[in-house]
Order: sequence, then C-alpha cells, then structure tokens
Amino acid sequence: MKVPFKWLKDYIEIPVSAEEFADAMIMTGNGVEGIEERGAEIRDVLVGRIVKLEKHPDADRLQICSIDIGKEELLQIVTGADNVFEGALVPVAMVGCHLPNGMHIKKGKLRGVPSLGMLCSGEELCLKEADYPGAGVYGILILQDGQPGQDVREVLMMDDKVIEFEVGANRPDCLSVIGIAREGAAALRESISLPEPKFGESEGDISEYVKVTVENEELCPRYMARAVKNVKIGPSPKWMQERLSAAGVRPISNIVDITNFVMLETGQPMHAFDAADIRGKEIIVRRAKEGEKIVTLDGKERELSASMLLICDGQGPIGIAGVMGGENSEIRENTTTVVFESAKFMYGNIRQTSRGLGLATEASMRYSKGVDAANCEYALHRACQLVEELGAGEIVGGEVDILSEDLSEKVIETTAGSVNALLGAELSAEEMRQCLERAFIKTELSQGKLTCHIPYFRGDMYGKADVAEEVARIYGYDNIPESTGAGQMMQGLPSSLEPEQDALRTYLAAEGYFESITYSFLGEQDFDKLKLPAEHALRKAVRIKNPLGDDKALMRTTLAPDMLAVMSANLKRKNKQVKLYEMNKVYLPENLPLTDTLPDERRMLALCMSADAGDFYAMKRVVKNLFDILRVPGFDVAAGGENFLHPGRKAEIFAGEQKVGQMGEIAPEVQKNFELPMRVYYAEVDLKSLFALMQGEIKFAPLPKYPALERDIAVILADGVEAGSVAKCIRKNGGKHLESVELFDVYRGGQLEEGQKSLAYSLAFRSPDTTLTDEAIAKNMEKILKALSEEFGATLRE
Amino acid sequence: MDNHEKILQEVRQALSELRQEEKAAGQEALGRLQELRVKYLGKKGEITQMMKQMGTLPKEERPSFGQKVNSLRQKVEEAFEQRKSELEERIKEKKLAAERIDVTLEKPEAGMGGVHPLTKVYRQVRGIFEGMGFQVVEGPEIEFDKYNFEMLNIPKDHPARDMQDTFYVTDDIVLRTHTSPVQIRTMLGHQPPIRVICPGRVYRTDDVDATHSPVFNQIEGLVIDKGITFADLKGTINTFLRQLYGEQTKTKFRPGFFPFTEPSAEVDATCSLCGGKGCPACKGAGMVEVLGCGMVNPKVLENCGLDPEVYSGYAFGLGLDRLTNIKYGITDIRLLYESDVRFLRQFR
Repeated sequence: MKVPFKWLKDYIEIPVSAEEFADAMIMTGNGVEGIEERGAEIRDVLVGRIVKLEKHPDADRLQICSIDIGKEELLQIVTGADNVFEGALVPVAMVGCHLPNGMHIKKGKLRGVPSLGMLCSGEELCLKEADYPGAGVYGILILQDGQPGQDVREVLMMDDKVIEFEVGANRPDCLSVIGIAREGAAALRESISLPEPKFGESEGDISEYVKVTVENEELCPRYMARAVKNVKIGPSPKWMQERLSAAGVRPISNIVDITNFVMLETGQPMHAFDAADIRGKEIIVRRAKEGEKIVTLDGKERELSASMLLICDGQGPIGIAGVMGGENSEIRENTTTVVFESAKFMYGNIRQTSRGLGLATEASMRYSKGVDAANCEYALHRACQLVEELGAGEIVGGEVDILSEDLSEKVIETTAGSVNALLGAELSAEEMRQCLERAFIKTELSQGKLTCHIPYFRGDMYGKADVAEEVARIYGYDNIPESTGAGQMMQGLPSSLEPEQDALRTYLAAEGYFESITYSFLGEQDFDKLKLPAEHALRKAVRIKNPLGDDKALMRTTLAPDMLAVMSANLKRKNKQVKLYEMNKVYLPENLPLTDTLPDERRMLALCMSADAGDFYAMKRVVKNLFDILRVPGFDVAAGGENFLHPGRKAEIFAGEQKVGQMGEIAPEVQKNFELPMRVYYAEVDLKSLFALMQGEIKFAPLPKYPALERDIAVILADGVEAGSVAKCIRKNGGKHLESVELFDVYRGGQLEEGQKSLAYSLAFRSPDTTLTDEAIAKNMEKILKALSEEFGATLRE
Repeated sequence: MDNHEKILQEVRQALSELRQEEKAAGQEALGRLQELRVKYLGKKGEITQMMKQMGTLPKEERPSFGQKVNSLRQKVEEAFEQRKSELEERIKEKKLAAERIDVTLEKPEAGMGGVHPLTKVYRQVRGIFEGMGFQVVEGPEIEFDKYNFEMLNIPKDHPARDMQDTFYVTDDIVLRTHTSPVQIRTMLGHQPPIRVICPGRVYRTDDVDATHSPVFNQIEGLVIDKGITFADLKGTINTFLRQLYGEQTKTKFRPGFFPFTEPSAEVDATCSLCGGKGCPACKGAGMVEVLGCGMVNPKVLENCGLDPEVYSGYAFGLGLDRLTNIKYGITDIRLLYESDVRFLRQFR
C-alpha cells in the first residue's frame, strides 16, 4: 500500500520525518517496504515562461527562446521542439544539472547561437502521463501553472514522500490511507481527525433510477447504491490529482477519480456506472452462467464460469463483481447520471474469480483480502460528499442498502491477569486500557476486567489472545521482559537417527566425499535419461499439479539423476577427481493418485565418484565401511542392478539376505545422456532399511587364548567364477573353527590354460578351547576342496 | 719408550689413517676396523702374543708386566670401541640422510571432503537447542492441506494463503510450505510438556533466482506447557541468537502476523557480517531479519485438543538457508543447491 506522506497529514499531525515515522510504524507492526521521494532526481529544474520566440537564423527547425526564470535577465535557450509558444510555462533545466534520465546539461551553441540550458519533455524528467497531464506528449512539457523561477517539483506536485507499507493478511483495513493514519496515530500517540461525510440531497428518489436485487447474499452480504444526477464530467481538482498520482493511480475524470480516491482513502472499492447504460433500470447481483461473456473496462472479452459473481442489468452483465466493471456501462465524457456502487463481496469468491480470470485490480486485491460491511456506508457517503464538494453533480435522495450481515458490535472480555499471563509482563489494567484505546478499541475497566469494544474495521480480532497482542504491540515488544524459566525441564535430544547420519557424514568427509544438496524434483525426461523401462517402479512418482516446469513436475523416487547432473557440472568445470554424496529423501507413493496415505519418504544415500578419483573397488570399500559404522552385519554384493549401470560392472548390495542398494559404473549410454566426460561410479543405499538392521549395544567377546592355525590354498577354476562365491563355499564347508578366509592372489596366464584363473586364499582356523593340530583340521580341508571341486570344478594348484 | 708405547702409537696411527681413508664410511670400513682389531687383539694378535710371553719372565716381574700389558690392552680396546661407535654413528647418519624426503610434496589426491554448509549450520543450531532441552522431531514433506493450513488457522481461500505460494499434489495434499505442520502432528501425538524443534525441507512456487528457491529449509520450534509466556519466547530466542552470532548480538522484536500465532513477532538481529555498522548484506541497516515467532494461537491449541485456559506455548520458525547465507556472507542462494565442489570445499 503506497501512502503519500502529505495525504496522511490530512488526518494526523506528524511531527517527525517520513523516515522516523516509518520506524515508529515498524515497531507497532506495520511493515515498511520502502520510502520513495517523488521527484528526487529532478534537481535544478525551474519553471520558466517563454517571453519571446524567434527563428534561428541558420536552422529552420530551431527556435531561440527568451525565458523568464524569475531573474532580472532573461535566459536564452535554443530548442528544436515545435510545441512551444510565447507565454508558455515550461520546465527549464539549468546549466550544470543532471536530469533523471542521465543527461548532463552544459553550456552550448547550436549552429552558432549560445544556449544556456534546456527545455524538458515529460520523458526527459522520467514522468508518465499518470504523473502529470501532458507528460506523455511528444515535445516540451507545457505546465498548467507555476511562477517563473519556482522549483518545478512543486508545480508537478512531486515534493512529497511516499511510504510503501507491507500490509499483513490480518489487517485489510490498512489497505487505506485512513487505516494507516489510525495506525500512525497509535504509534505516535497523536489524535486523528477523519472526514465526516455530510451532503445534501436534491429532488428525486433512487428508486426512479435503479432497483437492486441480490440473488446470492452468501457472496454479497451488503450492496449499497446512490444516484447522482446533473453530472458534469471534467477533470478533478489539483489536490485530488496530486494525491492519486502520488499513490500511483492515474487521474481520469472527476467521477472516476472520486471512486479511486475513496477506495484509497477508506479501503472500500467503489464503482460508478453510467445510469443511462443500466438497462431496465435494474441491477441484479447473481452468479454467472457457465460460459457467459462480458467485455471489461480494459476492452477484453472475458469468459466466465458459474462460480463467478456478476453485476447485471435487465439484459445482461455490466460488471464482474469486485473485479472490474463492464465496458458497456463505463463513465464517459457525456455521462449525465451516475450510480455509485459500494458493496461487500466475499473474499474467497473474489480471490477465486480474480485468479481464475488472471485479472487483478486495486479493487479485487482489496476484496480478496476482505472488506468490512460497515465501511460500505462510510465510503458511499464520502463519495457523495466529494461529488458535492467538487460540484460534479447532485445527489439524488435515498439509497439502496441490501444487508444480510449482522453488524452488531463485537465485545471481547478478558482480565489483566490473563493478558499478563500470556505476555509474562506486569502491566496494570489501566496501562492496558490506555494501549487499547490508542488502538481505537474502546475499553471499560472494572476490577481488573477489561471489556473491549472491537471497532468494525478490526475483523481480525476474535479472542483474548488478540487483545493481549494489541496491548503488547502498542506497549512495545521491546518493553516486555525476557525469561527462560517457565516450563518443565526436559532432556535435549537429536532425532532418533541423526547421530547415525552424522557418523556417516563424518566418515564420508574423511574419504574425500563432499555433501551435495539438490532439489526434490524430477521430470519424466530424467527417467528416460536413466533408460528406465516404461513400467519401471521408479517411474511411479508423485506429480505436482502446478510445477515450475516439466523437468520439475515429479517428486523424486531416486537420487541418481540429480547426483549425475551435479557430477557432470563439476567435471565440466575441469575438476577431475570428484567425490560427492547426497543423503536425502525419495518419495515413494504406495498408490497414485494419493488419497489418505502419504508417500513413504525414504532417506537414501547416494555416492558418486569420477573414475579419476577411484574405481569400483574403492567405492565398494567405502560402502562396506558404511555398514561397519552403522554396525549392520552381513555386507555382501552380487552381480546385478538397474539398467543405468554398466552390465558387467554393477552389483546389488545386501545386508545378509536383504537387498539394500546397488552400485556400479554408469552405463556408457547413460554417461552420454548426462553429458559425463568420463566414467563415473555410483552407489545408492537405502538408509531406512539399513538403520533398521543396526545391531544393539556392543557386547565384549573375550580375546582368543589359543593360536590360530593358518593354511594357504590355491585353486584353479574357470575365469567366470566369482571370487565371492568361492569364499562363501569355503566358509560354508570349513567347519566351526574356520575363523577367516582371505583372498591374497588372483593369477591368470603362465601355465594356466586360457579361460582359467588361480585364486589363492589364506585360511585361519582357531578353537576357543585348544591349540589346533594339522590332524584336527585335515577333514575340514578335505571337505573344502571336495566342495570347491563339485561346485566349481576347481582343482588344487600344486 | 718401551714396546707398549710403540704399539699404542701404532694402533692410534692406524685408526687415524682409517679415518682418512674411509670418507665413504660404510660396512667396508667396519670390516677394515675388525681386521685391525684382530691384528692386535685377536688370538694371534700382537698384544695377545705379549701376554703369552709372560710365562717366560721371572716370577717377580710377572705382576708388573701383566699389569702393563693389561693396561695396554685396555687402552687399545677403548680406542677401537670409540672408533667403532664413531663409525656406526656415521653409517646411521648417512642412511638417514639418504632416506630424506621432500616434505613439501603432495600426492595429487582429492583430499578431505566435507559436509554441506547447510548441514554445518544446522548442526550448530541443533546443538544450541539441544542444550536448552529441545528434542528434534521430523514430519513429512508431502503433507495434508489440513495440517499445513487448516489446523494452523489458515482456511481454504483465506487471504493468508497468498503469503505462501503452494505446490499442490491434490486438492487435499500439498508440498508443505513451512515446517509448522509438524507442530500440529506433535501436539496431536503428545501431551505437553512439549519442547521440540522440527527441521526440514519446505516448498514454495518461487522461480529460482539469487534470493528465491522453490526448495529451502526451515527449523520450527514449539514449546507447550503450563504458564509459558511471551517473555519466555523472547528469552529463548535471544539466548539462541547470542549463541549463534556471538554474545554482543542485539535483537529487535517487531510485531508481525502469522495466522497460527498470537501475538506474533518478527525478529531482527545484529548483522553478523558488519557487526551492526551497516553493509551491503544488511542493506546498510545493521540488522537483518532472522526469524518469525509468536505465542501459539489459542485456536491452534483447540484444534489439537489442548485447552488454551490450561496450556500456552510459543512457536518459532527459522530459515536455515537464510541463516547460512548470513553467517557466511553468501549472496546467491542458488549456490547452496548447485553442489559445485569449488563452493563446497570452502566449508570443510
């Protein structure tokens, strides 16, 4: 809400600067976006009167002006503009000044004739037609009044500051100059004097001009109207134009300006119809028919839906309620009779209509935030008062007032004790009463009980807490003491799995991994880039109805695309050794569309590493260590995994029998899809599953008392056999004393046949009760070799 | 000068020559030393032979002869020992010198990784609140409209919804626009006393630019008990901000508006970058807005089945991204979500 400082001063004394005023307003809860000094950039531009115009001797297009700028000597300026004339008042930029458009004025000669300044156009002063009539015209700006030598800003009505307030959704009453004035009075402890609308009525009765029917009272709890006859359309007076311009509204004509002025002043949107265009002399407020059309004031045809509220006459729509009037009933130069509308429409409905049509106006903005039924009357009468003051017409007797809302006063009762209990302060009841009175809440005191009469414009106040807030904000939040004592002492705790996540982060940092954080969105194209088949489970993703784009329309079901995109960006920046991880949620819906069950938000860990930073086995070691950190037993891998991984270099990750993730090299085609300039390794682990498998408290096991018996064996078998399965087979057949199995050599070539390899393992046997002998484990060794032979066709390498 | 002196001289001479020779000291020199030792002290060595002569001497001369030879032997042995230990020391030194490495060299490995600055600041915030007895709880990001809005006193089509541009999944399910729905879930699930913080991702339909992000992080706080006051809220927030930004931090509570708190406040703190002098980060104001808070609206308590005549409480919401940016002087929020290692490396 832009509030011109001068306008505010019409209602309250402000003994401080605009800046100090803004600070005081902030501390009572009225946010300030900024303060604009109108015309701040127009300096050293004076009003000049053209005394004499002569043709330039050497240039047909140039004229030499002798200009009175309030000094003894006339100023000579050469101009190329052709809209100047003798006697015209014009803005004169003096030598040495900088214009708001960046131009610097210097002494000069035009075709040999000295020129000591410049005549300005509206554009050169960065003015628009809304700022001053004629400012949009091509040529020199011709001023309507002013004294030679006067600062042009005074004539342009720009010697004002405009404070822009940020109005909270709870205080629609502050979308008005009066609302801000009330807040100002409260903040500055000043009194306020508001206009008291009074006007005379002339002959006739409103019923001769219009009859109003409200069909949907639930959407229009109050509809008021007045008629004005013998209207003389013309410009509004300068003081009104100045206020409108400063508030950012373009002056148009007296009647239209009155409606805009009253809206800005009171917060109540007003509309003026040309009575001649109200066919059948009746107004009907009703819902639109689906597909019904209207051409609005901006000249555009709008198609309406059945939820929208219309203002209609005997034949059809003449306005969209609360949003914009129809072109067919607008005020024109020849309008002679006007009907003013001052109504309350329900905020939810207007909000939907405005959004539905993509049409937001000053009126719809105010209606969407809520207007007050009681204010309709004040605004309507104020408009009539201004019509009379401006001599714009005569007010016809009588008014329409269709009211279905209860306007009785709201009263909130509370006690000083209750207010203090919420604030933790020790104010007396009298101090509270004074605060409330300053905020225009009439308050009676009796034995600590506060009876608060809530004014109509404070629709945001319902109960005791609201009263406490009013007291607090007027008293000043800074004046309320500080404490930390209250409430039961409690144990501070991280959430159940944060320490584990922190442990993983600490370890990954030590391994050289950086934590990546990316958005939660994906697009279908990401699944395509990962080569996921059409019916793949990961494609079942929660879809956003109003996404920022196709590529951000889904809630991610995998971290892979973001991980690969981030890796790609880093590799393209010539970082070669990149290790990244992201520990974040994926969103797995059980059924789509979502109904009563929200998706499973599952925390995943994704690792990604460029080939220059390590290979498959480096990453495998890290993944295995993650299991150890979390104390999850049974780390294992088996060849396999999704298609986006290299078919020969991918593995599923298991904790015992349970699959908890996958890892591998990114498949060449996917590498290309994500524009990865080198091979990349990727692993993902389902942390939710992993956390569920963590073992309980650590239990100490006694250290071994007897030495281990070590045996090395090397077996020859087919190249395709996985070392992991061989080790598993050894473990399975090694008996209870087999303590460890370690692969220490893989050998191909030499005496071995093509397609064969030799695997050498070091086995350790140990008994808790005795020192083992060769004889004691002979049977185990035999069984192992037999099993290896049967399962893999392995032979012992001598 | 007798024979003994001569031998001693000889040995000393030999050892001295040895020293000259073996500039390149090593095992070889040790070998040569041993040879010399055998020459004098070995079984057939000169001194050993002298001892054997003792038998040929008259009985009365034997003790003094023996003494003299022993003395000679002792001196020669000492000379050899000293020389040997000198040599060994030299060998050791040479070996160590040969093993010298250039300590300033580095292996071209990526080095330490690190946590994201958001995680770093979150840990700090969490630590402060844990110290004040707060428990961390979490809630879903894809949330019912009911919890995100309605029960927080923001009905459908209420103007307050304009404050938060919302991503919708269905008419009744949204991407949560703030962490406040976790307040509702906590109050529905637990009887007071409640003292929690709720960290997590939130979503708004903002296009990405230097100061806007459709995804960002909040930390919600909620305290419900008997007798909780606005003064307690002020004390808690001030303690938190002083711990986060330093003891000298000043704060300012301004009246604000949130539908789910009453009274509501917005809190400014001394700009941590300029210490209140005014800088581009705080737009010259010396203070920056850091959080919103207030006393839980009685309607919200009622919605969660708590009697506002018995219980009161406060809630606050911090923007973690904002806190992080202010702390490190980051001026473009996009950097937080681009995972550029040149950026991340700075927060190790």
